[in-house]
Amino acid sequence: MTSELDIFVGNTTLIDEDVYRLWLDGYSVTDAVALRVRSGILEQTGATAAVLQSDTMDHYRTFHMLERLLHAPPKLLHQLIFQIPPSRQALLIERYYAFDEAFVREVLGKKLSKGTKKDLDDISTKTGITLKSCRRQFDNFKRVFKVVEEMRGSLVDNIQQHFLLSDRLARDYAAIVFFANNRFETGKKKLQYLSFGDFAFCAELMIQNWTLGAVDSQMDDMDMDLDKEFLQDLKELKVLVADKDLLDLHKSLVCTALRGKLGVFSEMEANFKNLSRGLVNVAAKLTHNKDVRDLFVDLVEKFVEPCRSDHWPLSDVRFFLNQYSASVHSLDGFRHQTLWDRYMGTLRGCLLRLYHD
Amino acid sequence: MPGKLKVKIVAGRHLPVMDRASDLTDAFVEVKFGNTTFKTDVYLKSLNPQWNSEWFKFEVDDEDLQDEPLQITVLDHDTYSANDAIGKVYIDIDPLLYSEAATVISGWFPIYDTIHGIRGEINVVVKVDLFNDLNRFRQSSCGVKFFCTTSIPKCYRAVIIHGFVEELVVNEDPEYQWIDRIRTPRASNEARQRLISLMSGELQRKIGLKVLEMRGNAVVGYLQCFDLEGESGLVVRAIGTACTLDKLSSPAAFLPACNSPSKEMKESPLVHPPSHGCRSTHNSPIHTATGSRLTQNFSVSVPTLIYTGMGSGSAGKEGGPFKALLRQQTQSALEQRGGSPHRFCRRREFPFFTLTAFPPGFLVHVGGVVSARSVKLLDRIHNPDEPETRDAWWAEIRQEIKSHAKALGCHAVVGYSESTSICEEVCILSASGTAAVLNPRFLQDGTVEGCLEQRLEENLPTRCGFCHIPYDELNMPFPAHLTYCYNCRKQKVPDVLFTTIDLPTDATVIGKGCLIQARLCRLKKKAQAEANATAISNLLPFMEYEVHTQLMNKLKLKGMNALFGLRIQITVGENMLMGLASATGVYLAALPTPGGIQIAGKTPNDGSYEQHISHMQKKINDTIAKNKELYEISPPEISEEIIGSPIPEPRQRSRLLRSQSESSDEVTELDLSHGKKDAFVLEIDDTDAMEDVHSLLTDVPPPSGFYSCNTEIMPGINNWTSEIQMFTSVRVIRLSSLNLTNQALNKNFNDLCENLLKSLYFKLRSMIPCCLCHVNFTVSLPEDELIQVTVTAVAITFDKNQALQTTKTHVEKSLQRASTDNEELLQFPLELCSDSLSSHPLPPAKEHLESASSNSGIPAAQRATSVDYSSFADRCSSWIELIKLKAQTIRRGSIKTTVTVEKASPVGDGNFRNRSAPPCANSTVGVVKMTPLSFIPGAKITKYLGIINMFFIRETTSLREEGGVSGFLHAFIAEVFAMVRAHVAALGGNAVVSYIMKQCVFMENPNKNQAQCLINVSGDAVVFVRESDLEVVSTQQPTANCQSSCTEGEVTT
Repeated sequence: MTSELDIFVGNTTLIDEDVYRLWLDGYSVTDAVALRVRSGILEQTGATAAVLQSDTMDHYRTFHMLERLLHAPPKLLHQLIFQIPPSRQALLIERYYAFDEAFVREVLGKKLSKGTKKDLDDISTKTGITLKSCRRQFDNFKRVFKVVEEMRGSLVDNIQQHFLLSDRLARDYAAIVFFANNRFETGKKKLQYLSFGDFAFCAELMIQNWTLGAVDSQMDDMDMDLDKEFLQDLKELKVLVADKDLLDLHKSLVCTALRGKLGVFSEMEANFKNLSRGLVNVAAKLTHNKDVRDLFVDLVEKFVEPCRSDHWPLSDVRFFLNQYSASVHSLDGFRHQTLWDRYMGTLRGCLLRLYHD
Repeated sequence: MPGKLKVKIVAGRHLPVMDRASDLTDAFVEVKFGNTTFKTDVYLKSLNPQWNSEWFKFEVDDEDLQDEPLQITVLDHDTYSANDAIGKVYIDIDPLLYSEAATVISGWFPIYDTIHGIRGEINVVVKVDLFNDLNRFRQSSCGVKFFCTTSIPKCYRAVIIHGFVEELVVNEDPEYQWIDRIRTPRASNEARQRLISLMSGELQRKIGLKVLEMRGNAVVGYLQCFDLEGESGLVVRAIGTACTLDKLSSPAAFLPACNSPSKEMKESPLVHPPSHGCRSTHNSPIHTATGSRLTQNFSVSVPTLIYTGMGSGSAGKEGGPFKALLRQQTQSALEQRGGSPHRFCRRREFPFFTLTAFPPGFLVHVGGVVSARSVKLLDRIHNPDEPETRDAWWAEIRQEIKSHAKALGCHAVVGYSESTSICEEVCILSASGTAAVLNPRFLQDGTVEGCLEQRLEENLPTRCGFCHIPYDELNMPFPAHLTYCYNCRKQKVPDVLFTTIDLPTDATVIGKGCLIQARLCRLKKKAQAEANATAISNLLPFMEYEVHTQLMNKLKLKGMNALFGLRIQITVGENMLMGLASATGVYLAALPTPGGIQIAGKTPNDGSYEQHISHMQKKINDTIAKNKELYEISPPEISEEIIGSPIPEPRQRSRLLRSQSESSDEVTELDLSHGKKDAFVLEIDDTDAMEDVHSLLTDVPPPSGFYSCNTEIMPGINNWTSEIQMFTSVRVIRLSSLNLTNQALNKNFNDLCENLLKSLYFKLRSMIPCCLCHVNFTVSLPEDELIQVTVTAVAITFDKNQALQTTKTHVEKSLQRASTDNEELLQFPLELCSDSLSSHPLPPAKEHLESASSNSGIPAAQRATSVDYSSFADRCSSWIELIKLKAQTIRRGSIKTTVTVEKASPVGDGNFRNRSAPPCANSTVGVVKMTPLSFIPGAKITKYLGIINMFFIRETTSLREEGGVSGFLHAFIAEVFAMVRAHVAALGGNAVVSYIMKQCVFMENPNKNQAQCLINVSGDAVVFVRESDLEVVSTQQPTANCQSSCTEGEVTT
């Protein structure tokens, strides 16, 4: 006796959260059944393995049918085939678009193209996430990217509107899309200590301040691209390190203000010129796409690592950066105060976030 | 009454990409009705076209309006080649033809293609303007309401229940026409869908005409079925119960004015008001018949059994126009012998009722299940306009049912249904029902007059009344074992009762009920034509016997004594016959305690064998004890002493048997016929019997927190909460052809059903505590080695803590029950039903509208507080429930303070409903509930929008790509649900009640990567309002009058 056909269709579509998770995690039916057996469900319910197998198959089939709709979540809301309560719909969508930290760190800033997809095999091996799950997560990134790529207006709003994600998840996706678009390098060994959250934090700041949308939301803007004009202007900041008098004045202003307040004052004093050069040079280089990509590498190399090697506590970094940005306002010969604020305001936030072990 | 049909195509959405180059679609729509077609403009390059068309107007006869479906086709415009069809929508406009239902159909409909399934949606608005036309000779029957519900619909009152209506139409099946060889599968499927839609429209119209002829205005319990006879054609047949219904909310319902119904139905002036003669004629109570009745050897429960035994000899050819007419059972000789066959009015040939639940007082006695089967050889239907052959076949079967019923001393058959099973050219026609004696108050004059004369006015019908035997005890035609009713002690009752109806609301049940199934397979040799039919005919009696034995055994094993909702399905396949009987077992307080099951061995003096036997016996006894505990069956034994009646015979007998069982020699002397004793003896004389016993014990009870039944509601559970989940589950197993023995087959089939149930319990575990209601199993044998089982049921949660959550349906029920309730109290053998109440007994024949008098209800409710819970827990819990409900009723009734108390309940209720019910439940926009039940727990049905009757075909040539057979069917069933919901929503409804999947024919050809499935579903589209929404209004207006009862209701819980 073999079962040829075995289905269960409810007027309200039954969603088993546990099975959904197993499905999202990319387990095969057999593996899922084994995992469910291990969870002790048979003992709890008195069911047999055959029942569990049939139940799992059924849920998998349902999810498979739902997947097409999950690719365009508003369709899930308007479709008539599956009657699902709104709270369940939200859960389905949210879980489907959720991603693994380990996975996102691997692809963050990479081009979401087919070439990368081939690398998914390696990522799967490396992270222990099933290939199926990797593929889903990758495809999600790519899909969201494709949809919002050419759109005007706020990136987060666009994502939320087209994928009906929660605010948090939409922000994360905004970061992913932003990173993918600007191809920021995040995979270098130096950057391994940074979490996705760190990058997402920086992305948000950059979207808020450095994109076209940041200046004028009415414009034909896109949150995804950095404001080219702004990057061009950043070259003007070079004067801060190129002009020796200005550099010295800047240093003395900072040192005067921080004397006695900083535990690492002497190290700061000794390193000031290097640090300032580093920060200003990063700005000046941003005109080239390649250097934009290396932004985080540069920041870590030029600022985070030197400070860390001198064991600056985070509070001192904060004092220093605050003073370092504020002192520029007292430099009479410097004319680009607004530009400086737009640059340093964001950078200061990013650096503080990036500064940890 | 010609009319104007107006259609507007608004927009489309989610259309499929038809042009690969642009990834877009240039869609336009064709709207077709009859032979007229309109087209919209082409909406270029969009997957969400906005046509916003003008109103397309069709001027048509109402005959066409009833027959034809509106056909909407969405196409992709193609300049160079033929336009590609995207899909179609068929809209049945029947609900627009009577004013009480929907006035407009408007909404999003899934665009359906038989090859690709649902492909986007289309927004359509449909209206109908009808012109009055008093043509007497019209062919249409607009205005007759149809209900699938097998009880009087919730917001109506039955003025008269006229009786049985039936009709069938036949046609050639397009799938088997020569043209099918050259057309595409899509064209063939669509031709079939359209034809069936047309035929059901025609059928409904014809039935409507018959109803008008009977002067009714509605058909209740409408059941329409298709017989796909293959080469020989397509039969669409329907049965139903014609009624004259009054809308409860209408004040006119209480005026004896003749024009009241016609006011309600403006387009159908020919619908006559009920003839009021019937009201005056039956003011006297009716009771059991004595005197000379038919004497025929019937077992109480399944008379067919006896018949099958007798009739087997006469199976053979009969003359006539048929190729062969093989009958399993004799044409009953009864008519010539005992009874007068023409007692019934000629006008209503068959006193059958498709209803399964009845207004209070309608059902006087129940005799038992009557059924008839006959095996036919199909022949091509030569002239579709003269479906005489099929008509004659059914007429024959009905005649047989009628005479069976008569032999049981009953003049009517209730819970009547018909079905067929077809395999190649062999067809088994089956009909079954429950023989009953009805109160003619509801029936139209003449139908049952003859019987009435004989009846003596002995007693008032009581809540145990329906259990009392309708046949004559002294002249008892068969060896049934009778005892005095355990409830009233006045009338005789049988030891077990089998019925096809729902448990009457006023019946006293002890404990809870449970689903009981008998499953059986029989191998049969492959044969052709007549030989095949003969073989089947020969097998049928044995199958029936065995199914009955199994049912009886399982019933005893559960410690219960009655079956409700019994449905026996015999399915014929190429090389086997399958029998599946489902019913809900209960313990009726009025019937005697069932005896145990006794096991007897054949080989004496074998120590180990006897040990084995006694071991088995112990297991059985343990199971019975366990079941009694599980289903809370603890009959109040003291009632015997209170009444002081002699200890009923069965007890002695069962004791006797038990003592006998020690010596196996004596056991052989025992008579095995069912009727004579209540202790059942199973003889284990061979391995087969051993298997049977084993299979008895392998039935696993549902996990704790789960109950199941195949009736509308579970006896013993009243506090339903509002969460429901309707589902369909399908399983197909392939048998290994090597070792096909009856035994292996039985085991496979048994496992299939048991595993299916287990799966359901597991899947629905989040709903615990819950009950699977209306569990409906259907078996089919699509191929040699395939068995397909389809289950549709609804899971309803209930409140374990017996909280004060009385659902609306209960209130309604208590309304209906009101008259009998009072009597129930009287019959209740406790001191709390004392003198003051018995001083004014309520005659059952008096108008039930007036009987819900609150003056007797309130004291009863007050008394309830004095009940000692612990001692009579079972009985009281249900009884208290009643009182609680009654309190609710009274409160409800008293809201309308201006109305006199007598009229209060129904009128007040109806008006109340009108005032408070929002036109549509806005809170649940989009959600459409589906249920096979006639009600929705925790909600009140405010409007019936019309019947839903849909037929779909789905075919695929890429089975693997669609996820194999499971993926294919899963998607299809989900799509069918979606289309039903969309139609209901477009009618303005938010639920389908009495939903049924009548057919699910699945065929596969995995080698060709093909599969095809046909599904037919029906139900009633309704608008319901959540009880909680109503409650708000009711609590706003507390009156002094209801104060006491309100508090009472709370106290009793």
